[in-house]
Amino acid sequence: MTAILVQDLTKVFPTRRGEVRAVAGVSFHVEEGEIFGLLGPNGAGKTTTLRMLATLLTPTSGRAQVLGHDVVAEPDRVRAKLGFLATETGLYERLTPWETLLFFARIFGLSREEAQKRAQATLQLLGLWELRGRKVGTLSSGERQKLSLGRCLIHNPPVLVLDEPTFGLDVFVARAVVQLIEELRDQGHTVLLSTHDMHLAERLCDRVGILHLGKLVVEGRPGELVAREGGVDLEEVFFRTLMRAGLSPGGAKPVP
Amino acid sequence: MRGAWLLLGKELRQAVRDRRTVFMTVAFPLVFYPLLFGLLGNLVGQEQARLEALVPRVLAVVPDQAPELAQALSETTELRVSFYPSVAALRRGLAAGAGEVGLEAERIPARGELGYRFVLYYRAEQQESQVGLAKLRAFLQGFLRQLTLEKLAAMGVEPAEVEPPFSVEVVDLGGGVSLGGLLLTQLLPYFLVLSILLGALGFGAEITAGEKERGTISTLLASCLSREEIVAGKFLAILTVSLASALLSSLGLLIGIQAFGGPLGQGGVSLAAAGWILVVLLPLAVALSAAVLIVGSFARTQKEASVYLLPLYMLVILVGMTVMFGGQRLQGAEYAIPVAGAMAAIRGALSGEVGVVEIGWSLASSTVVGGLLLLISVRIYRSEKVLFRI
Repeated sequence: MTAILVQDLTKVFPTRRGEVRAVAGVSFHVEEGEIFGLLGPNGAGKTTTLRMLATLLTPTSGRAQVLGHDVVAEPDRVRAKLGFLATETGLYERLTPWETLLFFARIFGLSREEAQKRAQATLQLLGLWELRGRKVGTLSSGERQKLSLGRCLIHNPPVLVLDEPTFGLDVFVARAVVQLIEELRDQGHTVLLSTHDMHLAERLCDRVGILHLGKLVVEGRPGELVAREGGVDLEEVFFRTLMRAGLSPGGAKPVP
Repeated sequence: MRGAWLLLGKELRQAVRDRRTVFMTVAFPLVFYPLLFGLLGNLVGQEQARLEALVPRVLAVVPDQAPELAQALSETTELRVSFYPSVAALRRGLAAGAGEVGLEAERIPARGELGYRFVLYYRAEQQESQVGLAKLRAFLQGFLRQLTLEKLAAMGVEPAEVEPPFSVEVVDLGGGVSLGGLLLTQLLPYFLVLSILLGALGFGAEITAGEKERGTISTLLASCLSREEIVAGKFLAILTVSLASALLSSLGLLIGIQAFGGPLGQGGVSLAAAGWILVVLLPLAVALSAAVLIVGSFARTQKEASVYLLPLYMLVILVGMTVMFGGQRLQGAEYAIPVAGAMAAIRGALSGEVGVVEIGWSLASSTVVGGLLLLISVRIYRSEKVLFRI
């Protein structure tokens, strides 16, 4: 069954200098239990696409569904089934990990008892149980990122949308996060993630899509894409794809 | 609205752990105001004692024809008198600081033994000179009364027989309003309204723009909370902190004036006045908290929010100064002017000068403005442009 369906999704931001087409007719789908990676240079439209799926932004046109629920018509249902991790580790510094998870569990509708059980299980899963009483502000960036993931998982959503989940993490923490995502996939969660890390995408993703200037220029299984480009690696595929799509050496910027 | 209460709980939990918020809301009003009024009261008390003990230096020009006055001036212990030969010398002496007050006496023989003309010189801007004037005037009244009594006695008339058959009584219609009471009436409304904002500003910026700056706004918006619940939770949190700040500021002010204010500490707030103040204050706090929520939500960072909130604070200070110390009194429907009407209504409640109608105008105005601002807040939290500053 299709967990995420994106059809001709477009997002145009009106600015003082005119309209910026951040996402221009993107279509893809993610099957249940699959990990799909959105790759692309800065400004390619990855975050905007994920934000539309998380109902933070309203699409200008096109449609997107999460487990059959439209992001515009049924945003509440979408949010209930989705765990969203933003690029920045959005946590409250003066709360403890325990209070953080309890708060998010409660606002996702869990009862106090359920919330406590889920918070305990999640902290233990992430290896943060011993740190449950410390203020978030005193945690390391790796611990915070794990906690952010825990926040996404607290209501046990079937679909996870992760924007750069390993951004800024050292290799050990990044590996732990990758292992966690794999475990989640094995448990049946569907994961849509964005990343700049081609090695991570190659290892983790069942399928990837490369975005450039708001358009999906390539989509497929990493192995197939690598084979199509002559047996190099995903980073080379990424680079060649973008060069063919007209990427300048300075990178990409959304165009009007 | 279950989500709003959960959010409120989270915001308040964070607030009590934020040293800056706790300092501005609790420590500042409960420590600063008692200290301020303790210091003020102490200074006023010391000054009062000094002025009461002051024996003013009087520079006197007394003609030879008034030996009894010269003698009385020389003998009194209430004044320290130096005699000068001319008015010009007296003026020079006063200008040089040789005395606090000057006396020019002149005999008017045509009006008999009581024929005196006095000119008193003083400096209105100097407290010592004012005190000297009062003491010199009292001395001269006593001197003339004594001369009168002696003259009557010489004429064989009992002074009691010629006492005027009328009396003058002075009644204070202000209900005995003391300096402390006056200070409370003038300062409390001003401090109350300012402390609502003072409490709301930092905390409001933190939970609005701060959410954007830290990136936590995305996590809230992606949760099951509706935009209305987010606005309500944040608004209630700002309202709670601002009301706590206002109430603790009032408490600090009262403690400061009554417990540590020394000679200032004779004012008070009746229960009825306190009730009316709360009635006026609550909708005003609603309006100001909603205004802080709106202004803070427009900013990208807390720093930016502080800059945007500063004009709001300055505006309230300006309105407060105009209403409290401007001398012009609001009338009838003028009490509906936001902030100004509320301050005037609180002052009126304290002094007993306004009625239900004036308080009603203020209440209605604050409620309407607060409601409108809350509606705008909800719209803002639905705007991608504002939330993500696209």
